[in-house]
Amino acid sequence: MVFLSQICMKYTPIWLQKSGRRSVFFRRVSLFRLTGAFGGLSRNCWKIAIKKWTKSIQYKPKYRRMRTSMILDLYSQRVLGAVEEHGFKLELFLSSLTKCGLELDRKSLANIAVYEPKTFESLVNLAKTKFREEGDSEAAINLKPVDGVITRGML
Amino acid sequence: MVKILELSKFSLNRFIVNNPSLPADYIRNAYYNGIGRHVCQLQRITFKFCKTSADSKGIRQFIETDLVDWSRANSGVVVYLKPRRHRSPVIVTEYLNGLRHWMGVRKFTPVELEWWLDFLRDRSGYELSQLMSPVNVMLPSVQGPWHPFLNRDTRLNVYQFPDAESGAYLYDKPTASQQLIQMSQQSNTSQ
Repeated sequence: MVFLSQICMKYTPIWLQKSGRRSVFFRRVSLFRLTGAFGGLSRNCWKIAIKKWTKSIQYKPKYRRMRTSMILDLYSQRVLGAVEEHGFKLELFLSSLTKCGLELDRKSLANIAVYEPKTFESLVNLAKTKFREEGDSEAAINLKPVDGVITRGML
Repeated sequence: MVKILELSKFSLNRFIVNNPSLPADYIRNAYYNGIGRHVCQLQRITFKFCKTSADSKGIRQFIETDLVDWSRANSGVVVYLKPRRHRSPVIVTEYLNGLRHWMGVRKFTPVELEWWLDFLRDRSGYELSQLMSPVNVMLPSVQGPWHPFLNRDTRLNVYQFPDAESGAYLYDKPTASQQLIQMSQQSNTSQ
């Protein structure tokens, strides 16, 4: 026979377990340790704190998933700004880099753009020459040539 | 009136930090510990226990059987034993950077105590915190980090605004008039 209530009791947190012998103080203080950063009565008063805590733990998994997309968004924004500064476009830059065989993700590109700006400029120049060499579109033909990059086609 | 938010360890964006009740910090190590030689960061442990009560049974068993072997294996740590009547058992650990950690071990089994002692010995002296990044670097930038005037012309210092050259619109493709000029030049050169 399976006693579900006994099994579930193992996984309930301390602040929801009613033990008759000990005072209610210890059961509640185990939650107040977690709600210390809340504001006002939500960190000190039991009835308010338990509601706020149950809601906050519902938000946490959602925010964890949102966090990755928000940080990726931030990195792409930084790379966009850096590429536009050198007079090129983000989509063309990324496609040209993959054609060159440089599989750099947005995180590393953003860190290079922020901390090693000269390296990033040389990456942009490389992408520009590659894009110009492809010569598919008007933009490729009209792009000004860049110094400092030697390709197999030139040799 | 503008409210200035002070940078306190506990007021953090929930999008960055999972548990706001722990302080958030970058990962740190005690003076490059482990790169050359590893030094155990645990300085001393104090075991406070009762000789008779049932709460301290596990810690008493541990002291009788495993404590001496453990202290011989970790000779850099000083072990103090303090029998205290009618008090709950407790471990107090002190680290080289001054951190003091108090831990109740009421009704712990000897095996559980071993696990906790291994944890307490292995940790650095810094307090538990939410790590904002798993990586910490002394010199993040070799070329110098980006600033807004890095790729700008230094003539900006001397410009008189409005400036026709810098304010001009940048075209992707040549305009119709420019195309006509190009065509006329090509025809001139061919002639």
